Amino acid sequence: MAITRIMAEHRAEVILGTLSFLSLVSLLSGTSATFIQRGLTRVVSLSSYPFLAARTSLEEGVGYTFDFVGRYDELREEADENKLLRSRLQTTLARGEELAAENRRLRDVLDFARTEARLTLTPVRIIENLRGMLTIDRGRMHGIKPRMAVITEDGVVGIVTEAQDITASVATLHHRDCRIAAMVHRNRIRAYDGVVKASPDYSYICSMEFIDMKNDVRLGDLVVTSPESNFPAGLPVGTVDAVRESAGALWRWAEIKPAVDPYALDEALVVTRSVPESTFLANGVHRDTYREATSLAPTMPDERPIQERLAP
Amino acid sequence: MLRNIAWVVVVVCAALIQTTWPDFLKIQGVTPELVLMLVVYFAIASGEERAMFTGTLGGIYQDVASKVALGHNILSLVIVGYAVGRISTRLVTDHPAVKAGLVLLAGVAQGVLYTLVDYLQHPKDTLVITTIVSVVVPAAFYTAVITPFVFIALDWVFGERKQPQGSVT
Repeated sequence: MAITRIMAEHRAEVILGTLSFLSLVSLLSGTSATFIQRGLTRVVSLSSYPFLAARTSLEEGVGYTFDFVGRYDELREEADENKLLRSRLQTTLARGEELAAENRRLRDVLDFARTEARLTLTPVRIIENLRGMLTIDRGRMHGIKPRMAVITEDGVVGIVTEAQDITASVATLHHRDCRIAAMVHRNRIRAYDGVVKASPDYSYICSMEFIDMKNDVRLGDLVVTSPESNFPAGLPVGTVDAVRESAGALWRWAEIKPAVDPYALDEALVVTRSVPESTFLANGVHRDTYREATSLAPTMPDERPIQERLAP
Repeated sequence: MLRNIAWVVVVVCAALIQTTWPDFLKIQGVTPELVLMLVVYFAIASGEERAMFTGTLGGIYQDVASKVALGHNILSLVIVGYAVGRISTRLVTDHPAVKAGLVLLAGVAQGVLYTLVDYLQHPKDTLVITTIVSVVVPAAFYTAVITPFVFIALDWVFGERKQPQGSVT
């Protein structure tokens, strides 16, 4: 009883002594991993989390507002730089996509060239394309000569009509100077004149005319180069898009849709030399079996009007 | 009950604000001792018991936040709280400068006690005089300077409003 009375009378000193004693015990033990300390740490962490979260939000809000006003010029410059960087990146990306597409095309051309071991192919780049006439970046200095065949892995492109020193002109099936000896692949039917040529009036692209009425030519038939042409035989020229005939006429004519669209070309291959297929199959490729890749077909009759023929 | 809840909230907030004091409000790397300010306030307003409990609660938060041994801040705050509580019974004036002066002395005393305990724990790593001169005294001054404003706010939260007393004639 006396103790409780003393404690009541000197309550502050008792509290001081108790708290000091407990603090000293904790300090002297010096362990930071006691049960009590772990528990207190947990309580402190949990109770302080809302405050710290609110403080962080407040700091971010104040920082945002301050930056909005104080760093306006800096942010504006940064935005302008980012715009410039973005346009550069877009240009680089477009260039990258273009290079990837070119890479794919060139790989296709390379794969095709490897499969045609009997042909000597010169890769060329199309530098101009006007009304079905292409200009390529190789000429006489690179061994290009008139009447050489121009092809791609998809089929026939056209014929070299002129060769300058470093460039050459190629007439495609969209141009009236182009005539290619061709036949229907299914049954080897040729037209009377044996060629596919461009339309004179642009009502269609090209056609095979003077087909005998008895000959079986159907829609969708594949038309390929014949052995008489400059081109290696069997290369796709196009497909039969329509078969027309006039009442009472002896001939039919077929509209041909070309296999290669010259307006979508960036690269092509010029056939500078070729080995006859029979020789190739029998003997393989030898230097002395190569011959100039020019047409074996007889010279076609001049079908131009007389005024044009005799014009000065 | 509400008053006790408000007391806990204020002490905890003061401890958390002190441990997360923004860098741009520090002067030469020194932060004010908000918990010590509360200890002195409650010593003056409510006596040494409340001051010691304020020191204990605030000290727990400070020890856990600064990852020192539990009891380091508690011991110094409790002793200072008891001492200021005893001294305040003899104060005859309510002038803010006196209270600020009391906070300054309490700050220096608490800093010295803290540094001594630190020295006893780590004698080779603690420079007592340098710490007292370069950290303790400036912190005490910083704390004393903001004391009047904090005490006004605490008076508004905890101050008892005097009821008008009628008289019978």
